[in-house]
Amino acid sequence: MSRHPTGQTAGGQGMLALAWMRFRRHRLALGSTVVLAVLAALAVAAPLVEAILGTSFGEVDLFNRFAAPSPAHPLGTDELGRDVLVRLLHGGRISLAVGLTAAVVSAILGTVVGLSAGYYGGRLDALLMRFTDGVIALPFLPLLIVLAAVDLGKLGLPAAVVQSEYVSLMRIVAIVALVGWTTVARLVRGAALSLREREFVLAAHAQGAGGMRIMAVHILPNLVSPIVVATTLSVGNVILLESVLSFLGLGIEPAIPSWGNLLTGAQELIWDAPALAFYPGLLIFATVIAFNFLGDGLQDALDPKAMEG
Amino acid sequence: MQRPAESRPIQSPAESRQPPAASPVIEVRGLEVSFPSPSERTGERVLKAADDVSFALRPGEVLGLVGESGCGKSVTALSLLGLVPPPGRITGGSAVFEGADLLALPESTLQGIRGARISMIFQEPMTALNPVFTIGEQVAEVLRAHRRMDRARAWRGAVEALARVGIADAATRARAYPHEISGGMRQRAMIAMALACGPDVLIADEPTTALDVIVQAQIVDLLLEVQSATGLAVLFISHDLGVISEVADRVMVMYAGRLVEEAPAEALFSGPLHPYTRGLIDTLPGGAPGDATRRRLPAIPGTVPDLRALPQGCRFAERCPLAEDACRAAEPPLQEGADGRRVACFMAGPSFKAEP
Repeated sequence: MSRHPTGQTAGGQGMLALAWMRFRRHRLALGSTVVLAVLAALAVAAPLVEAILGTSFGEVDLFNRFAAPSPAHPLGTDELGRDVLVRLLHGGRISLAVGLTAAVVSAILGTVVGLSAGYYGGRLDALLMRFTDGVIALPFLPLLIVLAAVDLGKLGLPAAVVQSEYVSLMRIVAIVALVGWTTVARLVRGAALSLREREFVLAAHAQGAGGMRIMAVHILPNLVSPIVVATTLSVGNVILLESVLSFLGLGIEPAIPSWGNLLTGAQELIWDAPALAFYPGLLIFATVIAFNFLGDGLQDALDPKAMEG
Repeated sequence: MQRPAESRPIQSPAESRQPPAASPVIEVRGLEVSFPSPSERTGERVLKAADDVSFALRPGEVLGLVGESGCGKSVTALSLLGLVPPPGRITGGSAVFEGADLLALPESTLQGIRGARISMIFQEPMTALNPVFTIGEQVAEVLRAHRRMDRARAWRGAVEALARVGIADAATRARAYPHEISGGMRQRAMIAMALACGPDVLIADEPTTALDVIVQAQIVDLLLEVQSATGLAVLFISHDLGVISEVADRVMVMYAGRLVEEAPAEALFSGPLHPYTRGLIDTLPGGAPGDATRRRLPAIPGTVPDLRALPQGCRFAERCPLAEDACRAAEPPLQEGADGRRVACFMAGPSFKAEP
């Protein structure tokens, strides 16, 4: 455990600066960050693009189907004469939002389960981990299909919620979170098991900290790096999953464009208008790859062992 | 472990201070800590890491606790804070602190005592400090937990606490992470954390063991300084007799889970009553004070008995040069003698003192 030259870090310029130094060396991750930032900015700016082009993502123009790219429609139009660029950007809003939200929600669930299991150990650990094993063992796709087909109205949810056009979005987030927390739970549990044996936890006890405080203040901050990395890597998976579900017709309702259902809509036109499948496919591909590189880069940058070395 | 220099003769600092005679801050009686032990061979169900340990810690004194690894020193200390690591359990005894039995208090009450009234410092400050927080944040955390201070006040308090333990330029150093500072400074930060709330008792579990000798001496000086300035009672645990002789007013010697001898430091080092204590002192380079002859360092033959399969009679009998049949038949009780000394040995008496 050698020390860093004090000139670099004394005075608390800190771990983030060091992590950034290491991250910058990871070119693919850096490039991915740029790609993701551009995609996110474009997605956020979708209404602005709509305003500039004078169209909207739902505007049908049946006299202008399958139009070639033009100043009015930079990427052409689809089978209903809707602007492809605008629909892709709106799709990006939905896909990125769903991916991030679902990844964060499942990370939170997984952290709570993993931290309780790892810190308290014993029976609670056994119970929670067997439950986790059970969830992992469930056949994934049939489960998703069943969950996606549940009629929310029969669950007693208020009609306003059930009929909201974003209910399919929240449904996807809920489904992914319900099955996606297991990775983080196992990761966090393993790390918490080893952290709770560390002397600083004993020292915190000796200084009068209680179980909750130790978990929140002393153990959780040590877990931030692996959780951030796992969450980043899972965003890509969630986006893929969303497209799978949408492709199967179980995901986001077609009225709202997402990359997944844009791809679905394009499948029957694949010979007539391959571009309609190509663009969302490319975006999904680029985003998933970029999140994976970003996760790798973060892992290298945040690895606590690299930090001390 | 060798002491840094001849200029620190064994026992002189302890000699100069008066052992106070007030009523004890903590009075431990018959403490017993057991660990379940899966020993098929002996059929034994539990081993006693601490067995019938009784002592009193008086205000303003430094009470040394020596013994080799695994003799129950740390477990004894941890039990006072209710921190015996599972699956160990406290299976008997009491430890009275301000009229309440620490061993019977509910966890929530103990949390208010730990770190505020009774603090503890550990052997290896690198692992006892949380690697993801600056030392200032960690000291501030103790103040926030016990004193309910807001962030800004706790931070100022932390910087003051760090300055009090001799960290130069504390305002800047407070922003350093544990891996950015030296071992000695880390231990100072640990001490600052332990003392931040002005406790009555400090339990120091081998606080100098992981440090090099020069830094050891500095930390010992710091602890003595703080102790005499605040009137803190210190339970100082070490396997290093040299360090103990410098800091302690009274010394207890522990062997295989039991106290075998207790005496004022000066008396213990000049005339140990228990053969184990004598053996330990003989292994010190330089030996007893005044003994300057060059010699091969003696060792105590044999090893510590397995706590799962203790021999009948005295636990030290197998390694003891003086053991007789009586020692192997029954366990000698810890008997109180004149001038507040206690010893658990049938052979302790005038005849023993005459032995070379």
